Amino acid sequence: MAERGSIVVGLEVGTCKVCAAVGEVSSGGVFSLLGLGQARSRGVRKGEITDAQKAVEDVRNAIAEAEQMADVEIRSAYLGVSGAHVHGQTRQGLHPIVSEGRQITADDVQDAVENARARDLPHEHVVIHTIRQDFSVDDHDGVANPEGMVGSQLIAHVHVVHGQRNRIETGVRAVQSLQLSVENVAFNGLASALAVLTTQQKEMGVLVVDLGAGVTEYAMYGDALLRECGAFAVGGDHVTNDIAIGLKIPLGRAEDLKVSHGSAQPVARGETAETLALPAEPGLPERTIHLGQLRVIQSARVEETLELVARAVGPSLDLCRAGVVLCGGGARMHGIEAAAHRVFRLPVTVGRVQGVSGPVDLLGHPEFATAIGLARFGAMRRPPPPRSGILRLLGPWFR
Amino acid sequence: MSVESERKADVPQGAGVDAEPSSKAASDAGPHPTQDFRVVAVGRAGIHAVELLCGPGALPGVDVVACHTDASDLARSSAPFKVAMRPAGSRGLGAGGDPLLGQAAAEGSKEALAARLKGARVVFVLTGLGAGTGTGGAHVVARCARDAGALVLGVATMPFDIEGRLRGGHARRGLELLKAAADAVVTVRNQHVLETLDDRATAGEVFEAANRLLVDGVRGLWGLLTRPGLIRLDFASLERLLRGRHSESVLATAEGAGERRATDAAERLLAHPFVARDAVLGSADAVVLSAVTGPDVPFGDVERAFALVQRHCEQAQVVVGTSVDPAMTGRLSLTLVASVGGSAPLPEAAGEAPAPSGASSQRDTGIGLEVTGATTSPVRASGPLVPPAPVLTMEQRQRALERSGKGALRRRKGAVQSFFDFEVVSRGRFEKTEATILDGQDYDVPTFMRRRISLN
Repeated sequence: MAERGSIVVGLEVGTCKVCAAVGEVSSGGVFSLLGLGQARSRGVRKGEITDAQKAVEDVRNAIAEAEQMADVEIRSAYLGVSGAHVHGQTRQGLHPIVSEGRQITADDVQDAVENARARDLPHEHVVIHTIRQDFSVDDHDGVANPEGMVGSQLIAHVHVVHGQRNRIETGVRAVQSLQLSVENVAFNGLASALAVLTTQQKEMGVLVVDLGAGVTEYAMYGDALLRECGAFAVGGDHVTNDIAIGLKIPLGRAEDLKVSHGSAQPVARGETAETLALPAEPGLPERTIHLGQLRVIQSARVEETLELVARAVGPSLDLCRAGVVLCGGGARMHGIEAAAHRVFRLPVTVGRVQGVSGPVDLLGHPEFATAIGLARFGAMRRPPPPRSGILRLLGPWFR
Repeated sequence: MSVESERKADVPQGAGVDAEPSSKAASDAGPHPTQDFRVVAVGRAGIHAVELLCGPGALPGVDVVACHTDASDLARSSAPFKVAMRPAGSRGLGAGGDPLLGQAAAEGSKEALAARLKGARVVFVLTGLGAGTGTGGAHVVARCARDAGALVLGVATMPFDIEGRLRGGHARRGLELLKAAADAVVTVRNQHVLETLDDRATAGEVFEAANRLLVDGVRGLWGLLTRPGLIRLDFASLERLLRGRHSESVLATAEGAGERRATDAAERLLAHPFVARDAVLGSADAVVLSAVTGPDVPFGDVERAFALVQRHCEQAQVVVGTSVDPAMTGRLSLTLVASVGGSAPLPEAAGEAPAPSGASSQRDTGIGLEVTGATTSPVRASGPLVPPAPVLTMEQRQRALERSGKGALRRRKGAVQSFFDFEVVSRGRFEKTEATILDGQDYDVPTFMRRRISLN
């Protein structure tokens, strides 16, 4: 095996696919993508594991493929969590400054953040991320780093992402049963944002919408800070399900139709008459369906899903001067950009992974953004490895 | 077996084993209701509402039966007939907001219920959905009533939004069940009631308004069926309209007086919050419209009012009736029941043999009826267990034929539910997952259905 930097793996156990992205952090701290493995997911619905046995099997397959492609052995992974139970909330933590001279110390900052974090957590929920926004010292708002300032009261504005303990634990256990250790968990919506956004976009203000099969996640940045994030258990599966019910066809056919002929654009007048003949298959008679109906069903659902996000983000949508970035499998849907533009009234782009080197064909796919983002999240968490091989071996003694 | 013949059957006395006789009927004889009409109140909300139908407000020819799990509530009720439903282990304390307990309790007292429902032609099931007894028990009662051969009309209140998602979810589930069991369900959404009242209304006033609406529904339908009329709306036509539809209905009444009574009443009816909301009339597929007038009101007024309302429901099958009430001198009151998005009894049509024509079709006692949008065709009386054969008009037949053809989905807005069985298919892939309920909507149900988007 060639000389490697530190290996980080991002693992997304999604509703449609299980995806493991293998990345490497070079000694200079640069992250590059080595390989990616995926497997069809069978044990997950709406972003949450419903059949642990199948999920474990799928994770094993994805990991095996990733190992092969990247030519590494995977021992640990950063696991993505998602589902309707994950919520993002902006909170304030108040801390009075009582130290002598009333100068704010690092401990005070820590206490203020901790106060924000621990407040009103729903029962059985755990904090996944605590992301600092900014601070207020007395009535002076928008302080980036209050350490060393003088004041009597420090307020920390913190975005807390939390989810239900047991559901997160279920995913972690499933991965651990494969003798893989879970280094940490991260919210898929933030991982996607991490992968597809540039620093400049975050500064200008941007909304990332990850259109997954089971879950739609969103994260909004303004002035380089995370403002809102969350997830809805509505996604591509709902589109498929709607089509299957509306056109009275099996789910498998509905999925194929969605991919081959679907569009998030509503039908223009005159287009409604177009029909499509579905060939007979064993057990299924030949059918003719109207493409107009398919479009009506699909665009209604997609629009509604995006409206959910628009409503959740609310008026701060105006802060998104860099527009909306779409990722996830849903971002490949025909007409999705125009549909999103209609809902958000902002410029819309389909995201591609930014600031990562690696196989170009992988970076351009919006559906791999989450897994790659998870690996990148891991890379940020981990200090770059020591420089040479011999020092690495002796590392423990030199620390 | 016709309903008529069933009525003659003697009601077995004392059949309800765990039924608690009311104070008036404390004797062992335990008299059972004998009238054609029964109002069955299920749960606390139902019992409170039904108080308006006891004592001075009582309707002649209507027997009121109160069912509840909570013994103390039941004891306070002034209903002449009572059925105590005892959930296992509750010691008479009620279902505690658990619909499953409510259902178990109702199932447990089925015999007593059946005895109270025997011989009824029309059974109104009054309840408040969202808590335990009503949510879990109402559909059991409705099913009992259907088994007894009666036409079952559910009248239910839905909880306020602030009562929370759990109750909202229970209520929706309960409503689905009730819709499946009853021939038609009229819902009164407390939230809508609240919106129609001004901000200063107290809780008592709001609930009273909701209860009054519930009872008005019963009273209106009762009046429709019993008052002597010029064009009498009879039981058979109502039955034909509603039987087997399992629909959700909207009920509204409006009144006008003086010279402009016809236009006033019609306009008020059309502006009624329940009717104006979601353009109910445009999407209704069955409408019962009745007018009650004073003896001095010219028929031209009635006609004008009907014409004004009917203009808004051209797609629907409309049954009209008028009657005269001496107390209504100079006034005209309109009652409208619009059934929206029921599963029209078409799917059964394919499999079942058509009703033998002429078989007991003349059992209705009405003098005359007017059915617009449908040809008159015979009605088959239902047996106690067998659902009635669907009656197809030419138009419906045509539609059924069209449907069985290639993917032609539906013709007009609002009829979506009429041939997708909500409970069976719509959750599809999400059968075993937690429902995605956001803002009070079940997002697992296809968007185009919830938004009533036409596919053609």
